[in-house]
Amino acid sequence: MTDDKRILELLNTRDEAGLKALSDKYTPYLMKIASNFLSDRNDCEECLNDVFMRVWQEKLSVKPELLSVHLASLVREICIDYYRKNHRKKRIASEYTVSLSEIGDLASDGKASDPEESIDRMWLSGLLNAYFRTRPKEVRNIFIMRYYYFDSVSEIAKRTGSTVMRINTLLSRERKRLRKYLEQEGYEC
Amino acid sequence: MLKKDDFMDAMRDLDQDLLMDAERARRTSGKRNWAAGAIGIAAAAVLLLAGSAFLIRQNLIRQTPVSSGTELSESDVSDTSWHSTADLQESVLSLSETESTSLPEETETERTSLPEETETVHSEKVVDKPKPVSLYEGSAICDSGIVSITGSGPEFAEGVALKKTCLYPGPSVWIHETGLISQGESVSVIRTATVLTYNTPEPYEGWTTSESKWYFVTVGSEGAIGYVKAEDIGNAAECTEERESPIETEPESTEENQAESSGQPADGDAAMQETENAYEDLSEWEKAFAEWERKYLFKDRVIFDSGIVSVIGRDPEFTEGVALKETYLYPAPNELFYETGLIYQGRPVTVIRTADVRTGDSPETEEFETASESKWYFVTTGTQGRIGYVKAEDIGNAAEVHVEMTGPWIVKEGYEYYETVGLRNPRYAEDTNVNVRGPFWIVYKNEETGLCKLASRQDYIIYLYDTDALEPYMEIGYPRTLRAG
Repeated sequence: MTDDKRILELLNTRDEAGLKALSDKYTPYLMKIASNFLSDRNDCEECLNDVFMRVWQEKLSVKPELLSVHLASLVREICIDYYRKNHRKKRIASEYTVSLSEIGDLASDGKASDPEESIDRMWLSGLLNAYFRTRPKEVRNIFIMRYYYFDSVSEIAKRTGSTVMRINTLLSRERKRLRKYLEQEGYEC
Repeated sequence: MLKKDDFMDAMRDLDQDLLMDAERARRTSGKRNWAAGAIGIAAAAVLLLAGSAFLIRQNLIRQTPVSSGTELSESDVSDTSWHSTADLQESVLSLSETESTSLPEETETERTSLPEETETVHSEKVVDKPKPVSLYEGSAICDSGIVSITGSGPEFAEGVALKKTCLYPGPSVWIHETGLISQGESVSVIRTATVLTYNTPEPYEGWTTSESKWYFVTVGSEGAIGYVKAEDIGNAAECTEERESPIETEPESTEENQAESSGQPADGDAAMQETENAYEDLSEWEKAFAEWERKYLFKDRVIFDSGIVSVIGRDPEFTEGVALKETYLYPAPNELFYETGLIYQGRPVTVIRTADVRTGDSPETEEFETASESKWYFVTTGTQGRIGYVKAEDIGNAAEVHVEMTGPWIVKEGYEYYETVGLRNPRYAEDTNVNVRGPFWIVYKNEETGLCKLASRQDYIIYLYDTDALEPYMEIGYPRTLRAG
């Protein structure tokens, strides 16, 4: 298995062997994440193709140790776009759908804000970063697993050696805590 | 007003060190599970990657000027060696970094205190570790009978029964019925399909016998669910075999089981004997069916251990219930195992395994057991205590199509309802020497391609066949009594 440093070297020299190595190594990993968003295998496949295409077209300037995080971010972004584009045409049953439902006590339904309001989103990101840095590592990681990677609660329970009930409770409390925090910062939740 | 999409977008911009932390936690503590999931997905990805690589290659050729380097060769794109367990595990190992995930004091407190938000926790009834349970296996079940329920772990007093009946000759004809079961009470079966057996006043020649198996899914006093043993069903002097979990998988129906089918009504004995003569080697027969089923019924269907359930019912409204998952391992055509789970509207199915499973998604997989495919049966309790099948869409990662037995048919995009027909002995599984019979079929036709989809009421699986192949069998030998939707 090619290491990440080598993969990045190959990609940055436009060597297609890098793309293959990347695909070989990360397809299962990215498929897992994509499948948390999209229930259809073909949809996942399409998103993964977009990820690899974007990696190929855009020069990667990430550190090798952050390659997996970067790829996860890419597939997350692409899958969310795909989800939003297609969810109204056909119901997509996925962990992402469930997660959207769960954050109903934190945020309301509705499309993303206009691009002009991206400053607000940057501000919100800053608040979230600040918030999570104050939280216990385990709680923060579980929240990110659920609402960034959209891992299922049962998966998280297995990974953390906990129970489904406890993870659900923890997430529920954390949403309420975050809501309170955001309201204090002026957001209407 | 904070919107969900904005929140999700903002999460995208979390600092990388926070994400890396979470990533490590995912991989470290979940190394085994991630590997399991990844390997499970590998089953789906076997074809995918070849396709992906091909598409990427095509896209590269079409869209991207390749400044240097060599084009991926055919051997490169078809190389699937990365799918091996060893490679995946190596991948995991190379990506992982050990880090402890000790519980902060605060969360310890959270774990032990009684949560006030438990009304939002829908899976609290689910037992995380399966209790020892038993699986009943038998045959020659009649339509109703007395149930003797015994179970270990929680006391099983009542539950839901799923009856799977095989009519033969005509191995594809499976009938599924459900019923409520209570200790010492008779089973009230709700039929969900038209049954043509020797018991009916309108027997069809050739369809003279049937054999059934019951699966009992119960909710115990502690909310736990599991299989139970059932003895002396109906008129059959059943010789039941109780198996303690883990279960060594065997063919569903064997010669021995056939011989034990002593409870058939007398007027069916001759027909039964005749059929037995015709199918002396039932294990071979079962293998043939399993192979046929694998080839045709499970095609393009890959199910994972959990998924989101969309429960749709009519009267009454079905919102929760019990799921029975039947998983087929291959290659190894007769390897079946069963799992149960509670289902809630819009919630993931949490599966309780009842067997020692060796599938491609387990780290201890044997080399030849690389894939598994499953069917889900959902038996729900409605608001009025009634039960029935429900439709399940998009289970797990699979774009799965189930057809609700009592509700509207699901028509895949691009197809429209065409006609309900009766088919006389359509033979479309030539290579398995299996004559597949179905009295009623719903046909959907794609006007553009001319292809028809056949939906079988019995199997509620949708098939795709060429119109030309279909036409010779469109003799109307049965009344057009079933309606679509």
